[in-house]
Amino acid sequence: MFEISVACKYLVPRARYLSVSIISIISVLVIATVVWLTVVFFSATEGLERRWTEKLISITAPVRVLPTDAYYQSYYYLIDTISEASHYTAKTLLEKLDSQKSDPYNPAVDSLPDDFPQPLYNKEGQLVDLVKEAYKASTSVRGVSQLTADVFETAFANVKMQLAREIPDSGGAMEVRILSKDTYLTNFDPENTILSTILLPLSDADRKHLETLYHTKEISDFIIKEKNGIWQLPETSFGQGVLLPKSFQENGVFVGDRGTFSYYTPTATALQEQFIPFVVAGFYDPGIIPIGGKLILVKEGAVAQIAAASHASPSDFPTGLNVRFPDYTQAAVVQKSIQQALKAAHIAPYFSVETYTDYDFTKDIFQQLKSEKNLFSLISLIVVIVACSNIISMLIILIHDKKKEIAIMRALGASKASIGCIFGISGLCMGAAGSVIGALAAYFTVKNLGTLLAFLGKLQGFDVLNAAFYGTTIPTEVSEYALVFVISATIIISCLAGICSASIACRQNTSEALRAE
Amino acid sequence: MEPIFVAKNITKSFEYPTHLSILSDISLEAFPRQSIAIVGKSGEGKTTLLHILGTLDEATSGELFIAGKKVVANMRDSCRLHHIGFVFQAFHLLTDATVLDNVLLPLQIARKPIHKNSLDYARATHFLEMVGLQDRLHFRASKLSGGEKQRVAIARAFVNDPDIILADEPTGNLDHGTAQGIQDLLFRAVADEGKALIVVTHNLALAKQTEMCYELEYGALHKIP
Repeated sequence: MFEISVACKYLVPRARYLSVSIISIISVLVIATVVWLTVVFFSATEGLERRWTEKLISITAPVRVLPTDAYYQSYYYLIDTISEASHYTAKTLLEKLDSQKSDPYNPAVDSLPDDFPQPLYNKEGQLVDLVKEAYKASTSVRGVSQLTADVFETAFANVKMQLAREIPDSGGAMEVRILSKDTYLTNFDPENTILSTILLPLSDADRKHLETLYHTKEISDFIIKEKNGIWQLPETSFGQGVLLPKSFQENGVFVGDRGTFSYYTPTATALQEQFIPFVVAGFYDPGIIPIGGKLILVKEGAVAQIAAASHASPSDFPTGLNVRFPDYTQAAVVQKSIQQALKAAHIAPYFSVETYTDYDFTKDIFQQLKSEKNLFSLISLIVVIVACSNIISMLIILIHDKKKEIAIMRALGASKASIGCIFGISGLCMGAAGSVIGALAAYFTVKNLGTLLAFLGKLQGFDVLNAAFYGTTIPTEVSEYALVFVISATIIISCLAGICSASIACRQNTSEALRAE
Repeated sequence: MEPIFVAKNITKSFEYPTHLSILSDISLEAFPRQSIAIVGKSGEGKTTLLHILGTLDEATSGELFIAGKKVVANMRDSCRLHHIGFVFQAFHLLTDATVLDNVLLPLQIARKPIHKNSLDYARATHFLEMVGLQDRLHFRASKLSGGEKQRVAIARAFVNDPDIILADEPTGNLDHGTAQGIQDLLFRAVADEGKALIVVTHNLALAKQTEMCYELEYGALHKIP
């Protein structure tokens, strides 16, 4: 094609057109630099965000189904508090799910207050079992593999630990340090498929501590294990195994250390302190969620026991269904599907369906991450526009330089559109060349980011990315979003820059240009 | 026989900074194989007239018909491409390109195939042979002498098989001997290819070789017997 062949001729740097050649090379390099920086930045932040999200999801779930106030005000929930069969005690979600009977009300022994909520019946005239229906809605999502739903509960307890440590060079003498901390407890899900991503490996110090403390080489009885995809927390004579967040490890706690969960139950005259003993079976990395440092994963029985003893309102200790699936990017689809299923079952007002970006303790973080992403996208766009404006300068110089050639081509019959096309293609090619060079540079940078950061860390004397925030491994995946965004923006803006310049070329008076010789 | 080229009542004037009439009511016809010369003093508007006839410039008023079709604004590029060949005083070659590439350029613009085995490529080399530059095909245009450059320009003007050749002082930049050679070549090519030729010149010797001669004076065209 005539236009492409002429544009290619113009784009090849030549010593004779030194100024144009230098400007065009600089323009391409500036665009490449912008593309490189943007792709590397987005790839790194996206990788870190993905890791944070995975950590968050591994202790919660991509989607949660939570009972609303309407649930707690419903006949279904309150009926247990006035029924003898339920010992006049409200049931937890887990108890409701396991319960054989949806309606424990017995008119012979129980009496309903006048203002008691009306029951919700199905077509068969039976009380709608809200929890079982919600569970059914949560597990019947189609098109999402390995989807499971489990009840989660949370409780509040004070952790008290006695950390027995051998005094160095004392001939085996021990000292005991006390650690006390307010914590949240939540259910440990044995079928959590992504737990391995947050579990911290057993360190040599942990191993040595276990051997010293329990005088045995058989330490596997004290640590978390996985068998056929099912995680098992140990049950020991010193208490049940629990998973602590890594903040405890940073406070000097080792795997095998023992402690108790302390909580209070009301008696006739006072609140009485109760204890549940535990053994540390491992540590996990909770990522950046605000309560991460206080969240302990324990077997569901202990959580239910402590929550039942609590006098707080049910909504103070979140409970609901954790809906888990490996690909968290499908969260919105799953949310919508569950909402539709709840609506179809006429129980939508009783449950809210949230994705991981909506949780109270993560909303701010994800909004901030999204805000930063949008802000940097805008900055990148502005920088790309500035970089591409170089193309206009270069093309205007080129047009001035090629004034006579343009006039000759016009005299030979080339249309204004053809001339415009030549410079549009030139702009486009420069943008595309810059994008390709930048993208390749970004690819190699991201793939070797670890080495690069290690080098930079060596230069400045400390780690570039603090492991406490960013983890120990560096993202190595190129961000598809960044590639598509920056390359398409660059190419479109370059093309527009080319068209701007082309319009100048088209306006040139051929007759005058030919006579100017 | 129908004229291949008709100009009717062409006028050209400028309004800024003051009203200035360059050409007034010029009419002209050219038939195939006919050669016409337009002579006149410098500054009389000969090149302006040629550019208007060649659709490079717009007339203030008047009409142009090429190959029986009225030339309207949106078909001027196409007219130049398919019906008109230009030979300029300053040659106007692409100096960075080779002799062959210069001659292939109109074919490229017309989106004709120019690979080595194509008929159009053969046509380009034929014209370069005709102007005696068969051994200079891959020379850069900037390396040629003035006479050689004008030969390339003549080959380029004919390569797209136009109906009319418009020549603006084709020998103006050449010495006498070379000019004579170019003149002969131009007239021979026009005769061989059956094209109409309108040549603008103040070279009377060149004008005398044409079938008809007009003088442009004070914006009007007068036939010289």
